[in-house]
Amino acid sequence: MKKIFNIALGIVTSIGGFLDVGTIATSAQAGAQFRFSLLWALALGTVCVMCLTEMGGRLAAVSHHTLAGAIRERFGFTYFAIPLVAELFTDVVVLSAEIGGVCVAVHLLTGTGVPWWALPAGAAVWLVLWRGTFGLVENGVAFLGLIAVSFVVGAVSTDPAWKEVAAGLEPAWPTHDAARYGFIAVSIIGSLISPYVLNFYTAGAVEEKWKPEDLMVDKIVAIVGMAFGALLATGVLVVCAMTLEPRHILVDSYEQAALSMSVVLGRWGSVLFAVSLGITCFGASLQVALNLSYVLAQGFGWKWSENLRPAADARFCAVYTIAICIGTLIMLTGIDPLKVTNMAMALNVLVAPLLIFPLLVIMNDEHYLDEHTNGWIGNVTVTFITVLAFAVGIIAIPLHIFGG
Amino acid sequence: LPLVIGFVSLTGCTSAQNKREQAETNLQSWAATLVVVGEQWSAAHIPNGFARTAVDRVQQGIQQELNALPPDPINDDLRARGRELMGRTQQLRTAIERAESGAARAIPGQ
Repeated sequence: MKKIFNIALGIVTSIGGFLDVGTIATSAQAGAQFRFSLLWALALGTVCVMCLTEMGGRLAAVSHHTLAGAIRERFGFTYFAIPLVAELFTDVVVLSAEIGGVCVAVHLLTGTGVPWWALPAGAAVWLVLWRGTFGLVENGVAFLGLIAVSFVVGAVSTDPAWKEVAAGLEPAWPTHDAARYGFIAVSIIGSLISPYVLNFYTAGAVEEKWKPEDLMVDKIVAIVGMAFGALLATGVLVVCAMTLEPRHILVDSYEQAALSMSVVLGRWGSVLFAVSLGITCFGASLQVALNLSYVLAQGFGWKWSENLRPAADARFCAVYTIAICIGTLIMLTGIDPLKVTNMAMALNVLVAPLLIFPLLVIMNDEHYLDEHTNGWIGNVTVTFITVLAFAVGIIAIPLHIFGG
Repeated sequence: LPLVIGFVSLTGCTSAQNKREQAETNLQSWAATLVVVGEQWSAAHIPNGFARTAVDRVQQGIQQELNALPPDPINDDLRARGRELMGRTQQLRTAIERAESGAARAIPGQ
């Protein structure tokens, strides 16, 4: 019974790891401009993140190592410093985008300017981390995030041609705006294989003291939980494809994305969009900020746990405090949150290989995994998707920025 | 050298043409957004605050497009279209302020 409860809880909490500002923004942009033709990117990213989280959970359950700790131990500090610096930079940009998502949500509900909400949003994130426990961060906000199911309700209400939707799962060459198509494809995959999700998942598994007996729970949560998250993201994409694309509306602002839901669900549509965006981004802000502390503390061998009182792991708390301050300051400048989001997601793709390839080496090392090392399917799948996303990113990101 | 000059001029032409096409697409997108905001607000599907915010964002988007257009006479038509759209956003803003849903519906589409 306890196992079933853990699985259900894990599936619900994976919404927090899956659906965030990046997934919502990139899915909306994809649907509005390219209808269903970028669903394949969402599917590829989902398969990759399923494999990665399952591997991360397996590493934690069998070896009781977090990813950051294992990379440092296996490759030494000189190598570890490279992904560390890259991830610190990327995570701060992602954190800023998530705080921006919370601000946009309140802005959509109240009509006041986005920067006005940066300080309250940053303070709320900090307060929950300072006072809360890991359970609150992982489960509390995730349960509220179930409101994002409204995206699926919205998608079904539009009554799309499901055959056409399914055809989007087959990769196709774009008929227009190839650079933008590539950029959004990369951003979608980047929003799913965020390094923070991987690190946070392994750190969470160690916090919850997973054992080899929990491997089945890990497998089910990774597969079903991420599939559930992907379903919600598909909901966003389908709603925008059915409402914005026929009207030639591109998603250049969150207001345009929110309109898609009001077209479908009437007076509750824009409210549901804003509340879903706000809650999922708030949950993701907690996870990204906490992940920054995890990575630094595990890398440098400091005492770490969200369940300890701040006085017991002062450096751990200082890291997320500083990160939240920087993320908030970026949003206070009045920068467009959607632009920050797109940049953060593209950065994820470029940084991900620095963590994923060491993970693959560790996952094939019997010293860490005993008889639970990777099979060839996992190795090939993750390598293929990561290399593909990186290669497309190298070409599409400069093309998009400098005008392709 | 001719190759380099050729490449640079070709890239330059493509870039100018791209910018124009991009501006056309974006203006069309903002115009359509304005229409949907008007429809949704008239039908009481979106609250006043959200409608005002959306109109402001459309206005900002159009202004950005106008500012980004190269000062070439070939783009005069786009500038005129942008100014006309700015007028429509103002009309919708006024209709929302005065709670005149009929006036909002009367604002022409694309």
